[in-house]
Amino acid sequence: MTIMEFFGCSFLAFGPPVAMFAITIAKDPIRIIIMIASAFFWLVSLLLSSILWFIVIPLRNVLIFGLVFSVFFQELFRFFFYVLLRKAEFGLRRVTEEDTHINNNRQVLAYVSGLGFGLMSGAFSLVDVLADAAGPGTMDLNGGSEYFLVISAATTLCFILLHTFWGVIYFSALDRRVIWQVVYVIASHLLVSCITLLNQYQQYVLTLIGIYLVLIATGVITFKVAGGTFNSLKRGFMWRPAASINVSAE
Amino acid sequence: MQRLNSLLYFLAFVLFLFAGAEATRTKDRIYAQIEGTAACFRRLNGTHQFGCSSRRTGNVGVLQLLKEPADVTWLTKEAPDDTYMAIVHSNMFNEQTLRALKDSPKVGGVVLLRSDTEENNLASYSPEDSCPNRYSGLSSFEKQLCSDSKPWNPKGSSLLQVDWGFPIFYVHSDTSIKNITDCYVKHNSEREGMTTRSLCAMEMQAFMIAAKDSETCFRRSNMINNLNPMRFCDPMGDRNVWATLFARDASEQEKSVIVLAARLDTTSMFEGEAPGAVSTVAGLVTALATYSLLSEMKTELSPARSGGNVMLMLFNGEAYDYIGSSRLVYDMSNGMFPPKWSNVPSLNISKIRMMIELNQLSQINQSTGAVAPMYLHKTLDNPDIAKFIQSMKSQQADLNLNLLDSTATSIPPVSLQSFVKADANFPGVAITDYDQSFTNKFYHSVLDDVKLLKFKYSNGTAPPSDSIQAYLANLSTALGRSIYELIAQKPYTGTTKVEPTQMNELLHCYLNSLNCSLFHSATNDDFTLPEYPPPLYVGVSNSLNAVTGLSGRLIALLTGAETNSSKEECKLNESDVVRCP
Repeated sequence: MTIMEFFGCSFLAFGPPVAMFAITIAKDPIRIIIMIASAFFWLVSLLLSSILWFIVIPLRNVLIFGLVFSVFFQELFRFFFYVLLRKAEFGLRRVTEEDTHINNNRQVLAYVSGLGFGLMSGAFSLVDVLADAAGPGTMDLNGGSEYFLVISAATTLCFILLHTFWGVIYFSALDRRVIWQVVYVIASHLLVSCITLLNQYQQYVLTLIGIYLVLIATGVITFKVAGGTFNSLKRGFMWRPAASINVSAE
Repeated sequence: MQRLNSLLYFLAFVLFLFAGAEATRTKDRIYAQIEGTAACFRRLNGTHQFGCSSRRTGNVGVLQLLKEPADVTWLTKEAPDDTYMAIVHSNMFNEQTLRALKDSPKVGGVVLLRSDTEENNLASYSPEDSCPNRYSGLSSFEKQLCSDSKPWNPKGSSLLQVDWGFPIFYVHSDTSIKNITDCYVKHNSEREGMTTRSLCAMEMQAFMIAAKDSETCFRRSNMINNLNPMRFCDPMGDRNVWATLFARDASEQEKSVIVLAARLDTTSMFEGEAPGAVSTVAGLVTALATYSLLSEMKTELSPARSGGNVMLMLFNGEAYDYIGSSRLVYDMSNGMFPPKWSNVPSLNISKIRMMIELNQLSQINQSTGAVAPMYLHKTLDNPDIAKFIQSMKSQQADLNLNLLDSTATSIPPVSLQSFVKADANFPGVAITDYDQSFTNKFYHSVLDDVKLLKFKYSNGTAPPSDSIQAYLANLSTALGRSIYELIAQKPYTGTTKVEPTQMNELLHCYLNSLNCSLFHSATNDDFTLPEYPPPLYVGVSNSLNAVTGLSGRLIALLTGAETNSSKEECKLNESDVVRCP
């Protein structure tokens, strides 16, 4: 039973992101490099958050303190990565092989870096839970929720997708100097992180509904920012010859 | 020393239950460790393996509490899951339950819960053979002294001689017992819908690497196939403890010796849980107190000492084919006792004038208003024995004792058998609380403890006159005076006797806590004494039981004389213990 639970939770959390990676990223080495680099930036932001949490001894047990500063560090490092990408843009164009059909425009790179952020944060939040889930026992036989593992997996999936969306919105907002979108990314990141604090009181349903609502809203904004329209969405679901599968916008 | 003890490798014991909302790791909300447990372990002999072992990775199963026989039937016949851990209340812990569980393929392990209140409900429980040491001593495979129709240990279930296919644990911590029962009641007590919801389960790890039989195990241990050879098993054994009242120098060579003997070990199914109150401790402390009384009489005794010396002998490993006494007899017959390097003249079995052995002693057989009887089992009739028995009986009115001649036709399973085996005319008397079969219904079990002996430590006050302390003290006094008469060959006229308070302290050390005043005085200050009673299982020969050394020091404390020598002068050997005041 616990093995089934382990695989179920793993696939729930990492199935969609891995599919996204396989379909949109894996075929292009440049995108893989960028994804790994962004994942590394997320790790550095986590390191700084941890150092801050470690230094401020009196607030170690106050979850919200570490959480808020961690959000700020993550967004700061998203900005650094944006700056890095913009500086590297010219060089990236030169190393890209001319004859590939892959179009690494700015939005694609934003999406790739967002997914890199998301995958690394997802891995960090779920892997220790999954490691314990594989054993002979399952969660919370006494009192707590036996759905803890499923809820953790769903939360992780939500954060991976959110990071992807935030990446797209943030980068394009910085390109176009749309301040409210930058503020929206930081605010919604803060909001969903704080919603998860409800988990301490076993309000798992509230948490999940809250963060998935934010996910839907963010998804809609991302779609708009990426230039999607109702018609383009419709077109996207229609059959087209394989040769024309491009991530194309603008 | 044919039998072996497996090395205990894992005793970790995990119960999967929730440990509170404050847990920091996910693991802590899935699992909880069960503390305060003792595992059944594996032993081998020349042909078989006995005891318990789990799989290498541990056994996991759903908890099922067994409170009444119907629960056992349900578990073995109707229970829906594949593997269960049977949690057995102590009132259900008997041969019938265990054999039913052993035969069921659904049982992955057994847990015995100790319960202080229900213990009395258990009428009897002795995992020992109905004929203890059936194939050793005077008996052999071909010639049996004890028959199953009239056994010495009628309550014996031979559970110690069973090779269980699963681990068995004994849980004695109250909090652990509560955790287990709470988890069971909360998740598993409702039998409807068991297959569709999460249940409370338990993992037991007590994997034993010894297997098959002694020969195989030794061969595997001695196989050198890499640079780091693996030991799969160790031979059982420990040390006998002995002392003589008068130093055995060269002049003692030809003098006879009266041996005052008791056993120092007992056994049970569980590691570290071998209290042996009735089977071992009562006789042991009586022998110690008697010997200490004799040393007080030493000054009166020495001028007129025509009858020889007194030797106190504590045998170790008697529960397993008389390891201690058979080794002593072997050494004696080879002129190796005491060992040559000690420069003490060797003692031959023929120089033993008489052996007085104290075996099981208790007040279990006491009828109201009377004194509990004691039985004298003699190996033969000779003037010394007649004199000793006559002397003992002449004191019983004064000392409130009730001594009876045994009606048994053979020698009970006591260390004397080893001596009679070597010398058919060996004179000896065993003093026991039983006549033809054991009165102790919990022989060699975890329940043969301080409550069975009815010992209540009276701290600072004198124990009541009907207490076990007073009873054993009176016996010691009678014994001491009778032995005095044998050696001095004149009646004892003094008033020296063993006080119940001394017996109180001795029993306290062996039954309640090693950290007691007597052991404290007998050891150096840097010796840490634990608060629990000593487990009296003989153990393996390369790691000595703490109580063996402590008993040796205690004898020195009770009977030794102070000298003016310096520490360096006294310490002849590296291992010598010298106590500085």
